[in-house]
Amino acid sequence: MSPPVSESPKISEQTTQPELGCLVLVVNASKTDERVFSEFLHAEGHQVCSAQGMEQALRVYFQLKPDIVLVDLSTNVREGERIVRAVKEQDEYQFVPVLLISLQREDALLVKSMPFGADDFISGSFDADVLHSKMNAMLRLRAQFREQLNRHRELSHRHQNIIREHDRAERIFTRMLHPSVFNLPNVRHLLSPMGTFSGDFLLAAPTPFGGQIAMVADFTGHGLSAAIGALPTSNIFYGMARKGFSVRDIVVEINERLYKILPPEMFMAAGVISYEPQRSLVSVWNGGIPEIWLKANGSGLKATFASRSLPLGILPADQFDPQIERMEVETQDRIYIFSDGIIEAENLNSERFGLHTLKTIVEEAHTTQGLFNEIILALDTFRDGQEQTDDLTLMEFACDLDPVPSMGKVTASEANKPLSDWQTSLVLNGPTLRSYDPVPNILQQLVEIQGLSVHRERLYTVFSELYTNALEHGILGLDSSMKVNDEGFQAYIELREQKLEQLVNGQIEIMITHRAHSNGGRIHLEILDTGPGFDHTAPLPLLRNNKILFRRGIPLVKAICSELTYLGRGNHVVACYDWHQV
Amino acid sequence: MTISTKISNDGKELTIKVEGRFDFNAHREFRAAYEQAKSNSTKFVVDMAETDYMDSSALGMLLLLREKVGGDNANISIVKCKPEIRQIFDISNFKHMFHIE
Repeated sequence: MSPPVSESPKISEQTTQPELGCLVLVVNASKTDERVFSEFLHAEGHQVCSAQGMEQALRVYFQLKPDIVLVDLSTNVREGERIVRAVKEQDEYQFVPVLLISLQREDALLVKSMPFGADDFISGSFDADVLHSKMNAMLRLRAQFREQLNRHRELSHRHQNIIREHDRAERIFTRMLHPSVFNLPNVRHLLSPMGTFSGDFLLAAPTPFGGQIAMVADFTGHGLSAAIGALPTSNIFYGMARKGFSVRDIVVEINERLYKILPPEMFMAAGVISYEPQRSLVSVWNGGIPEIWLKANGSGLKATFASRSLPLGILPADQFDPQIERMEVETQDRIYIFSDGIIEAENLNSERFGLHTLKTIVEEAHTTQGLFNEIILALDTFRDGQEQTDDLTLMEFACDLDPVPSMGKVTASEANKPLSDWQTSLVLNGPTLRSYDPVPNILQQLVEIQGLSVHRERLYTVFSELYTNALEHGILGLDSSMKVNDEGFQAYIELREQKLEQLVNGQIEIMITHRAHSNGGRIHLEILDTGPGFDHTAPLPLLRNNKILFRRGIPLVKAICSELTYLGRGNHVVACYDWHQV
Repeated sequence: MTISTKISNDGKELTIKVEGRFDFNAHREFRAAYEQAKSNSTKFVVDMAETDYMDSSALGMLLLLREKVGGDNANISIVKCKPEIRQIFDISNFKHMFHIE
């Protein structure tokens, strides 16, 4: 069904010819003069009514609504003036011309009376030609005025309709994009109130692997056009986040879509982060928004992620290559992402809040607890009642998800999948290992065959942890102990990229076996790499002891699996995961 | 906001100077400015010495100019930016799209 189209009246094509057959009100004329005017006006094709004195004049004026008023000042100037003023006061829109008449030659008197609101005057002996042309001029002006008034009314009517429709559409879009749709307890935000779309919006969603992904976006312009452009972004974001795509994949996809649909002058600056609690890792991309900050609990900024890319929607797909930065995080670390509106917020003296002020607050806070409120308070104090500009956007992302994922909900379609035994295996060698991550696809198989969606996050943790170990330590020979501090962690990540690039030899073998039992099953996950292995008898640090940033993955896997065994020289691992029907 | 233009004698170079606030309200004038380019105009200079403020619609207008005068082959220099303006170009990484001096 098409939406109801609001009435848009046609602008009438009126001519501005004076109307014929007008009703003329003659006020305070002597009997003789009244007769002279009446004869003349009738001959001109007009109708005539007359009145004596203020009271009658106004009564007739309201009752008969004359098109033009002639006021004779010959008998009583004062009263005539009062009548002119009273008529003009009542005449807000209609523009009823008032003509002063004095058949004695009294120009000075008439000129003096003009400021009371009369439009013209005639003096001296009765002259049909003068009265005819002055009346016609008045009536023509009146017709023009009415035409303008009509146009104005029609235009403002249309304008109101457009505003109303924009407003409605904008409210719908804003609601669709509003952060209340994601409702994640560790993500807090400040955003302009619903109802106006400033061009800024926030998106956040859980990933199927127990992590989260979030985005702060700043569209060019504001209002409806920006809101419409923001919609595909939101669709792509939520659709891809749900399927577990990476920051890079999502950013590439949004860029391509926006590039195709937007006119060249429109684009979207954005910051996107993903958080993987199992790896205590954040991935960050910043294209055109101010620095993204990673604040460590109890100390200053751990990392600053400045914009390194063009905003989205500007470059065609083949020229767009987003660089993702990665950083290890600890529980209670927080990430702050904002658009330029917050640093451009002004106080009553037109001074800006500024990046420096904001940065100082975040840097100097002792703990991350309460920091968000501290920022809001500082901003409110600074603005001191200055009206809110409509694009104050800030997101605080707390890196405190439980690394041991809980189980999600069982869907009805999965609850009754038949139990069966099956197995799958994959052997990957050097060149493939360089570019292909087998984890998402294998996990998808695992989940689909047996209907194990509720176990997805836990299985992901086990699988990705063991695979990462095989690749990074087994094949690439990287040393976890490099990761003792942040610099070391960065160096580790860079070295990893470098070694992957140069990888030629090496092989990883993955075998997955499922054995069904009466009300569930056991998954054997075996990973074998061609690396030198490691001393798997060495003691392991405690789970979640965040002071030690390395080799934390294994205790995590142990906590989830029923069994975890290293074989051979430490290059062969077998994990058993038991599951039960609900 | 005032926008003025200057075309070199041979018509090859068009300079657009933006004074005051460069924002959405400049849209029409900015477009009128680059439409004055001659058929043989190949070099475009946006002089921002007197530009005090710039928003994302202004960045959009620059992209539109780029699109109109050759896209990837456009020869556009943005010159004499004040530090605040320069910062906006830095954050948006427009250095990949324009020569910013």
